[in-house]
Amino acid sequence: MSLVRGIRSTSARGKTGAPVGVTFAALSLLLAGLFALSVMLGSVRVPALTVLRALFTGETGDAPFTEIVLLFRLPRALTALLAGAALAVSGLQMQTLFRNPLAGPFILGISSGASLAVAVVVVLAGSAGAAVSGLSSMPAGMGTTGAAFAGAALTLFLVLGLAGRVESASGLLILGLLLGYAVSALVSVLLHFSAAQQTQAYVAWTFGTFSDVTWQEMRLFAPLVGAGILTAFLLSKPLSALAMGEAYAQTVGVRLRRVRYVLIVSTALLAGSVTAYCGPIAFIGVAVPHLARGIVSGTNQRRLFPATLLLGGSVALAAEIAAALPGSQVRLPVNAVTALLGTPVIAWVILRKRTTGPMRRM
Amino acid sequence: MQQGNEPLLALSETVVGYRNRDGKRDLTTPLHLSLYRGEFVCVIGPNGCGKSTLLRTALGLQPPLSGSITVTGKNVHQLSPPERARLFAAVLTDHATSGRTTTEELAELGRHPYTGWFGTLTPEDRDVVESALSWLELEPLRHRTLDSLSDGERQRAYLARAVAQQTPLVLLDEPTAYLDVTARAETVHRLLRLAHEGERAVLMSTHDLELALRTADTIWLFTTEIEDGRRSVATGAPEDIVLSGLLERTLGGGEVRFDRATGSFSVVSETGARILIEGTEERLRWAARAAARAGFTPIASKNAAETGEISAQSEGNEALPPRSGSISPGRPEIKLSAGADGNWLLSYHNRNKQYETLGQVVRALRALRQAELNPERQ
Repeated sequence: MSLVRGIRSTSARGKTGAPVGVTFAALSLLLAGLFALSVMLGSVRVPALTVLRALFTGETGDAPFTEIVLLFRLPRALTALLAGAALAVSGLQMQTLFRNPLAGPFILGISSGASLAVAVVVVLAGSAGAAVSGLSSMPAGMGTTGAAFAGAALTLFLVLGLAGRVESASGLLILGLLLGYAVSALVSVLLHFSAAQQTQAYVAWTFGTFSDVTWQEMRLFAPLVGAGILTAFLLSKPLSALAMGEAYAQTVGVRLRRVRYVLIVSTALLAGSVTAYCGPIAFIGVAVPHLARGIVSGTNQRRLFPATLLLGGSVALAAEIAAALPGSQVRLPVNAVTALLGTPVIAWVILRKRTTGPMRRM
Repeated sequence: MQQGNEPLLALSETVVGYRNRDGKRDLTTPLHLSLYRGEFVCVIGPNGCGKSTLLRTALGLQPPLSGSITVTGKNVHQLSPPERARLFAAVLTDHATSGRTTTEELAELGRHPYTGWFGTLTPEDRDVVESALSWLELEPLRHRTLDSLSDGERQRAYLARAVAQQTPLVLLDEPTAYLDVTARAETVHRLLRLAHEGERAVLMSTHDLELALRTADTIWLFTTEIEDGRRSVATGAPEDIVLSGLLERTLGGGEVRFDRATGSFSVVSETGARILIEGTEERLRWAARAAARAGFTPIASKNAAETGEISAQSEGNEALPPRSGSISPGRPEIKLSAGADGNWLLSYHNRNKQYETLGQVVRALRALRQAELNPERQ
């Protein structure tokens, strides 16, 4: 019996040989550290102690700092954390469901649908003039958020309809991809006939940002992301089995159709709400699951899921810190920063563990 | 031995096939098949006859076109996936599993039908996984990922998962494909023990006919097409199936002939000029095979027949059943003898040539045959 127990403890180790508990403690610390840094750094540097005071008492004793921390930095950091975690988790779900390393949260066309709706709103708001001037005057505000939500929801229902008719996962994947292309084409047509100002408003939206979520909006954003992540977490058992492929998963008792539906809804919830509040944030959803696989071994979701969640938040926070270019007034688009900083990291992770076997490491 | 009990798996009036846009495509006639506890059954038949479809249908992955499949009296297709997963374990051909999955994780997935919402393994589950891993000698490979394993090791990992699932029925689709001879024999031996000692019913499809005939308790043979590509399935002990002549009719054809005497298939040539083989024991047997490979019809010499080496074949009796018009009567003009010095003596038209290896003999025989088929080239 003691022999079995000895084996048990060795099996609970991460890829680096460190016990899983240590790995997750380190990842949590990293996330907390980046969160604090993100609140401290920006155009003005806020001292760490002041940040801590603001976090725990809601007061800093210094009015400008209090305002900066509570009204801008804190919601921004929270948004980055939630969005990063949401995108990474839904990317992991899609990669597992489709067993495709290139899949991500937007693979089913969720963000394309949102983009189209935003483009429609931006262009209409411009051409309708004063009647809807409320919309055009706040291109990144309620108008685009509502439009993105509507677009993502419409796409979701379309994809769910398709999922009921398409037997194979790859068929669904291709349909989602085609949907994305068709929608991009529609967006191009719309932008082609719109004024430069509107085009720019749309392009600015596609850059993505974590800075536009107010506390008011957080009341909807946070529960939506929380619900999506909880749903994903509840699916970790069938998702572990799906690592064997759909046929095998069914033979160990996975209710394939039901799991697929719930997965799609959860991903739409995560990707849709992030797109609505932050714009189409690329890269994190595709890349972070690979980063997580570089840190924990195997395909058991009980390890992969928390690692992906924590890393997603960390990567988004790091990107947000870099995008703000601490000490300067300049702000880079989040989408540019995630890809520029993330690509070398991911490339290193993949090259480091690259084996000479066939490419079936998904 | 088990026929007295109730069958574990029963197909009645079951038509297996698939549906596509144009409608249904039946692969079988209505089948009546039973699988019993403790029984090891091999499903054989030509490519595309429906072996995999039959297994997938029995597993509940696709519905039968008509009729029913029951497990201990319950209709398979009315059970929920988790209920089915406690009755059937499967080893399939599409190994789509992520290469990053470890051997241990794969075996642990066998407990999936029994664990709770989050798939947490109880100590009992762990013990089942451990004994499955040890039964398949996978302990040293437990942390290896699947893409780092050999084909044989990976197949063992899938088998460990099926064993850990602790189901009364284990269905396997060509589990011995891609394996070397040793691994194939080991796999089948394990499956036999699983059935006989583990009291499970094991159903396996295979193209490895010789192994199936040697080991299976029962053979399910997809017979020749009846009409519209539909086949019936004949069942019986391997020996009875061979003696019934169904095997040659189903799987032979063209250049390939099933040899009932040896229980194996061989390629036969159309012309098949006869050659007399002289020698004893295994020298005779392998000389005959070399001659057959060169496109000749070997005939054992009289003294060899007396040693009983090629059973019931005396001079003048063809080693293979006669094929119409291809064999000239009378004594063959070519003779291959095993010399006492280990060399081979090939004599024809009163000419004698000595060869050191059968490889050289085959080349010489082929040249001879070529010369006879195209005399003008000389």
